[in-house]
Amino acid sequence: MNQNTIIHALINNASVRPDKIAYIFLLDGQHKKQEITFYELYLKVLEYSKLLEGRFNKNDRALLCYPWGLEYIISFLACINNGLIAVPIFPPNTINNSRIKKIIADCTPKFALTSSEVAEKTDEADFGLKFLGLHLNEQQNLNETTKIKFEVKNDFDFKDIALLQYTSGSTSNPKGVIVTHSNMLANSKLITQNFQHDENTVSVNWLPLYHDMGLMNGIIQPVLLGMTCAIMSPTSFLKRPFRWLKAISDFKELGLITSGGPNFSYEICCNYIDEEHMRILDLSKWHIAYSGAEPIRPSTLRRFADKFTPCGFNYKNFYPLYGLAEATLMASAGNINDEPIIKKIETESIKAGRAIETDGNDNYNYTEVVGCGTNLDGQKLLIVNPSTLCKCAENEIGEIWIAGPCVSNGYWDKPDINKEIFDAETKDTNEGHFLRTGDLGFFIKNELFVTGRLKELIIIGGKNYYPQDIELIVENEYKDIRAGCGAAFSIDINDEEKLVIVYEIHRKYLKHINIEDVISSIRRAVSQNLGLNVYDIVFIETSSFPKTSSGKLQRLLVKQYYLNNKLKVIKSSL
Amino acid sequence: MCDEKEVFNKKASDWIINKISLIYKIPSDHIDVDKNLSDYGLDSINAIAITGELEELFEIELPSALLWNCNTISKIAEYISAQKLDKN
Repeated sequence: MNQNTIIHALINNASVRPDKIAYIFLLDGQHKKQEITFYELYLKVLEYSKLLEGRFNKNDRALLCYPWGLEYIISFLACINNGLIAVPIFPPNTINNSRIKKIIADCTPKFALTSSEVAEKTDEADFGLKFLGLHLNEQQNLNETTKIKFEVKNDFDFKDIALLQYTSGSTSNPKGVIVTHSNMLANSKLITQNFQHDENTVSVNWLPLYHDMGLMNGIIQPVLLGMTCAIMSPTSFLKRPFRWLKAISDFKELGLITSGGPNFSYEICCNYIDEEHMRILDLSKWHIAYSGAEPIRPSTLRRFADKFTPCGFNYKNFYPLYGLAEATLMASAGNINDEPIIKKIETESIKAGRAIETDGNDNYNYTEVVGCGTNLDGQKLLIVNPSTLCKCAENEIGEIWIAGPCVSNGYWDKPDINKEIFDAETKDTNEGHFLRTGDLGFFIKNELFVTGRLKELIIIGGKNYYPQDIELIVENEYKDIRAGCGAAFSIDINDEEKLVIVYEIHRKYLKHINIEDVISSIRRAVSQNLGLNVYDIVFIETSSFPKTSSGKLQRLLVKQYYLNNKLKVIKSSL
Repeated sequence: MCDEKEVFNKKASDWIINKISLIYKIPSDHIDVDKNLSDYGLDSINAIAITGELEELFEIELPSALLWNCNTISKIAEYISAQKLDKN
């Protein structure tokens, strides 16, 4: 049955493999377990669906604010079963309340669904929304005379919206990606094909269920394919990264394991798992170790493989991917049996907007880039010059544009942005209906390489400069500057792009150094290395720098602060 | 009693210094135990992972937000050694 929605699949699994374990919940990552079969899962979904009856109209939005756990999954499936548009997010707490309020304003949900504990604590008036804490019976009385029907309750149109995906990005202006049943199925099918998943594959997932990668690998794929999914909460993983690898090791008897995460998850495994723990790991059945959602670093892949090969990990099992919520999830994929493709690209050429390969033996400086696979079946993937909107040649760096059945129709209730972002047309070939991803990349023989984000790119004198390259020069030049705590960006002065560099500096160094000299030497270094003139260099107080929760620089925010004079300036060159 | 606390305190302090040194590539002798950890670029992901490791190392439960509330190495070490003594 090729055209099943996720509900058809759930029903099918409940009838065809009722006793197969659908989910294994690792409650503290290792010891406590809760299991549920496909049949039991279906019953819970039916029960929850019934509790919701009469409270909404078709296509109303339901905010999912459950804490991580089984109820999250059940309520998500129940919303879809009922024709409610699911909006998976997170429970309110002191930090994220304003973001939740903005999402509420954006998608005007009928209610929020959450646990009874959270519902009790939540001030509905504050949010302007009803928070339903619906109770599921702990024990399902399977001897009840209520007949369980193995049939789909509603008519589904594949163009119906299944969910809105509020991507993690901007807190000030949240945008909900519209994901239809058609998008969901198309992307899931491609994942199944490329990953070679089947019902015997076992998924191990720690990713948040409200992010596209966690949603797909934690809910959509397991339910569609009838895979067992061993699942732990993100906090459980972050607290003890060992738990992730232990789960992969523990469940190897169940089948080949598919599991992954962003680059940082592999990094923290390297930093927080010692040899003592590694002794009991057997990672030989970890068939697919996917990496996506953030730039993939060759050094991380090597480091992880070096460390965990003695535990049976195989470097070939890494599966680097490119994707984004606007294209449901996956946008490119390579051959699952190949090892990662890493190329050395002349650093100079990248600045000129071209990717010229080097074998690294000459004296050219090079940058290593990881291939994210090739274009997907039934999809168009172009590299387009973001200024001229003309298609780029091979090896030329430009913006990644995507068109196909996985690509969303747009953001919820944003017609103007949608026209610009989701309906782009190339100027030279007039190919239309493309998604402009805002990511930069290039092709080498059909293999896609992603190089950065468009919005942070500095374009001066017709040349492209990546902020991280400039920052590296500054950090190499002056070691007492806090590495990683700076940003390079450009601003418009009289219609010209000018380079600004902002860095945190330890106050104690100010006593020992001549700040003017430091400014001069930075200028000189940037000029000598890149031929760029720095318009302004600003030193700010330590710890005053806005960072993301993963320690990433927020260059655009620093730029905003700079332009609004909100930086805590110690010394500025201007 | 005092000596025991000192032992835990030093163990925690040394361990954290080594960890910060390893992850952020700062020489251990450059790390000031009374300095705010975010000065060393500590992000929330590593903060949680460090808390988790300290839990395992000292066999006690620690709040996930430990490194937000105790934001210097000496404060964390103090907290842990106090917890250990309470427990024993």
